[in-house]
Amino acid sequence: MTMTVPAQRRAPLPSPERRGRTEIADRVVSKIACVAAAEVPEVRDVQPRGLPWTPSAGEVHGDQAVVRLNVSVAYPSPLPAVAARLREHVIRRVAAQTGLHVTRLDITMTDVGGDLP
Amino acid sequence: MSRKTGRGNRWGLALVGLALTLLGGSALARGLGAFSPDWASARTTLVDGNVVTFFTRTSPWIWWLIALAALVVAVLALRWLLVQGRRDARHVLRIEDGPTGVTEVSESGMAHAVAADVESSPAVFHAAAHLVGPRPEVRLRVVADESVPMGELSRHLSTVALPHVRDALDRDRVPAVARVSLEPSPSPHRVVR
Repeated sequence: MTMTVPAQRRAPLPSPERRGRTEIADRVVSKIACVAAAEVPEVRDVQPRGLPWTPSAGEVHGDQAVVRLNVSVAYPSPLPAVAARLREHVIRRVAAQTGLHVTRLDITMTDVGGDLP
Repeated sequence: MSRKTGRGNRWGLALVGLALTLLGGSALARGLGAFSPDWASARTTLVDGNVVTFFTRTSPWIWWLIALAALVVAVLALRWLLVQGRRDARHVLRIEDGPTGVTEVSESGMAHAVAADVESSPAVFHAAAHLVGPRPEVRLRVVADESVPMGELSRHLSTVALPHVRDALDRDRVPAVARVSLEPSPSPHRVVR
C-alpha cells in the first residue's frame, strides 16, 4: 500500500544580500593598500604604518576606510605628483577589491632615495 | 635625546647644583664659625647628642619616612633614566594637507637623498645635507677635491642637485647654502706586484 504525502514546499530563502554580512578586516585593507602602493613605479618600498600594538594602517568604518602608509620613494621624482598618483591608485584598487571607499590616505615618505626604476 | 629631555636635564642639573652649593656653603660657613655659637657652633661635632636624641625619640617611624623618601628618589632616578631614551618626534616636512589625506616627507630621508645626489659629482668626496624650516632651506656641507676647478662643483650644484630638490618638492625656489671645504685628492695607490 502506498501513501501519498503532500509535497513539502521549502520556505523561500531570503534574498542574497540578506543571507549574511561580509566584514573586511582592517588588516586586509592595509595589505591591499600596500600591494597597490608598491605598484606605483616611483615607490620602492611600502610599510603599513603602525607597530603591532598601535592602530593598523587601515581602519574600516562601515563602508569607508582610512589608510596610512609609510613609503620609500625614488629620487629625484616629483614627490607631490607621486603622492597624488599613489593616492589615486590605492583608492581605486581598494574600491575594486573590497568595495570600500577610502576617504583618507595619509602618506609619509620616510625614505627618499635610490634610482628611478 | 629630545629637546624636552635636554631641557629637563638642564633644570635637574641646575637644581642639584644649587642644592649642593647651598649645603656645601652652609657646611663651610659652619666650619668657619659664621653661625651663632649657641645654635650651630663650629666647635661641636655635626652628629652630637641632639641629633642622636632626635632619632631615638622619633624612632621607629622616622626610618619608614626615610625609606619612603629613598623610594621616591629611586623612582625619580629611574624615570630620569628612561626619559634619556626619548627622541623628538620624527621631523617631517608637510607637502600637502588636503581632504583626502596628508602627505609628509621625512626631513632626514630627503636630506640623505640630497647629500647622495651631491656626492654623485666626481669633484665631491663627501657631502652632508640638512633641511631647515617649514619652507625648506637646504644647508650643505661639502668636502671637495681641491684639484678640480670650483666651477665644476658649482655647476653640479646649480644644474643637477638643486634642480632635483626643486623638482622633488615642487617648489620654484628652494634657498640653499653650501659650505665647501677643499681637500687634496688622495694620493694614487701604488700597486706592487
